[in-house]
Amino acid sequence: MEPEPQPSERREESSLAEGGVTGPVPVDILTADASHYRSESLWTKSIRKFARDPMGIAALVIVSVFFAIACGVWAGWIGQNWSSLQADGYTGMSREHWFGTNINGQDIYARTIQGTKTAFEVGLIVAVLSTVIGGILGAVAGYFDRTIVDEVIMWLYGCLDAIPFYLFVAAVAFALRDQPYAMHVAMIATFWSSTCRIVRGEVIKIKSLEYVQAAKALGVGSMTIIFRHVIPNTFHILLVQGTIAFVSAIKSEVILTYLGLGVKHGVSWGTMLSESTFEVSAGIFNNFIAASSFLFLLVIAFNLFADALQDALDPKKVTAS
Amino acid sequence: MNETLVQVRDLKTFYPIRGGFPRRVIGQLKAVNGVSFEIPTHHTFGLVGESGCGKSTLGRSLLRMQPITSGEVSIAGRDIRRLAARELKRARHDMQIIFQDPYGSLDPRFTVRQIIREPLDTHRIGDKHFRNDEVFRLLEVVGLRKGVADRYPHEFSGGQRQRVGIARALALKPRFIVADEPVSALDVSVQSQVLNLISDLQKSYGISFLFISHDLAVVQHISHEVGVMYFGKIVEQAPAEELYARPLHPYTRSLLSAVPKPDPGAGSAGIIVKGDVPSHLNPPKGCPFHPRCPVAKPECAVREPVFQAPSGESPTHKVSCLLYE
Repeated sequence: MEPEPQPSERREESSLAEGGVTGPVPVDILTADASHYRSESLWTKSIRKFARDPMGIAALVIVSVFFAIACGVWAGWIGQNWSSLQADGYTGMSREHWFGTNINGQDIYARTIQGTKTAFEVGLIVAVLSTVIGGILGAVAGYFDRTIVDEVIMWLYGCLDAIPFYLFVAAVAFALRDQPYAMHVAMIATFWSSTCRIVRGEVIKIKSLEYVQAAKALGVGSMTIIFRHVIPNTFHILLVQGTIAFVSAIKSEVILTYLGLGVKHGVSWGTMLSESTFEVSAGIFNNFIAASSFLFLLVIAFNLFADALQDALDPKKVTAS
Repeated sequence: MNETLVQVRDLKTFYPIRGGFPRRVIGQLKAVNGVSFEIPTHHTFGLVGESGCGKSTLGRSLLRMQPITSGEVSIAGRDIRRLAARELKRARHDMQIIFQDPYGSLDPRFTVRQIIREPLDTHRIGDKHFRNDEVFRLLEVVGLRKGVADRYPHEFSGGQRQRVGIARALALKPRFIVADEPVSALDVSVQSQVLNLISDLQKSYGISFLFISHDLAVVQHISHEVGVMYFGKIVEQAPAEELYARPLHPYTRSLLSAVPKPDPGAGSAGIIVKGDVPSHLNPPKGCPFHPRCPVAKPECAVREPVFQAPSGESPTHKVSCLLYE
């Protein structure tokens, strides 16, 4: 048995120590100040990737327009006269009433704009809260995989998932009669479970990664590891789940309002659609087309935005580029 | 001889095997099944074995990252098994780990500075300025420029990432580091750089290493003493030179014969081990190596060999094989 040659050449050692970096070629090389190279985080990289996706940008523009409308309503600039009686019922499209008026003589354009605000309000509240709850519970369940904590959380979302959605909403709406947020509570209580399940699965994978093991070896506490290393690395999932929850919440809000379970003290596209059920058979489409086209445009734009976001945030695709 | 820093006695780490309905423990996977060794200060103990032999589990058990089933582990005078949470955190100063996968061992959302500062922040060492200076010092120690501190891991090559991982392990000034296959995922040209760095660190800081690898050539370069692990046990242990010059166990011999030689005409010693590591669910009786051993005797299937120094050998060269009993 001959001894192996000692791999002790030091030549490469020094070249690497001086080189220091072999990452992406610094852009600054071409400029005068090459000493400071702008480092790129995963976020900036994702944004750069998203900016290259024309579909995503187009969808984002449409969503932004809707958001601007909603903000305008919140600020009190547009769509404020949605409930006042403006004219005779069922006037056609005119300069004063762009989309005409409804049976009571209320301006359909103002009601559609107001409905955008209602949709965004429900969408944002439900998306943010259900994602936060689902993300934290999913991360805790995944990190304490196969312990009693995990069992309890899994049991909780298993139970909630077993109840049919509209039955559950009806029950919550009944239990929280006269509460304007009954619908929100019902949606948050059901929407967090899918985020929780996906995050839990991802966290089970992340917690065996060596950077989590390294943090353990350093003596970092479990909850600190979860909030410092685990949850930030599920952000790409949370963001995409949030957009999905947003779209589902808007659609559910419209359906629930249509069924009389949702918005009661305001106007929603669901209110308009429910009014239009009698009108469509009579050949009056103003309410129907206004509400459904706004809903359709917002939902499809948001779905395309969510898809583009998913592609841009996928950490594997990010590192490959 | 230096004083003993790490002492492991009859360490066993089992994983429960669950199955059936309702799920219950139906057996034990004996990943580490009775391992004893000592590492003096300023020494490197090389641990070699093929994948699945329990060498990584052993390394993690020592740092209590894996619950120990039985046995004793003492590091720098602390009984690792019996430390309370606060004492364990304190003990983390003395024992650290370097990981195999340089891509998985650094949080992709942290900059190098944040990664190296994390141990200092966690243990509240020094103030903000001290910690930042310390980051620069550690970067220099592992051969990286200061300018890389605000870069993210994905901007580095594998060897550079491994240096960042080493800097993080050094931040607490540990006396003992488990290096869990630190060069296996690196290109051969980069391997030697990282190995040189590790052996330099040992010389300048007097750190003891448990160096885990599946590559005997890598271990030889860096170790004072080498243990060969097979199926949860150390089957041969000797000072590095002695082991490479006079391997006793048939398994060690076959591993050494598999190491590529620089001279293509030299040929192979010709011991090729067939088959795979035996199943932990149905472990072989007698010597665990006998189903694959080229020189097995009928007795090997019946009696388990004792781990001891054979007569005529130096007391530091221990082997567990019936050929030498």
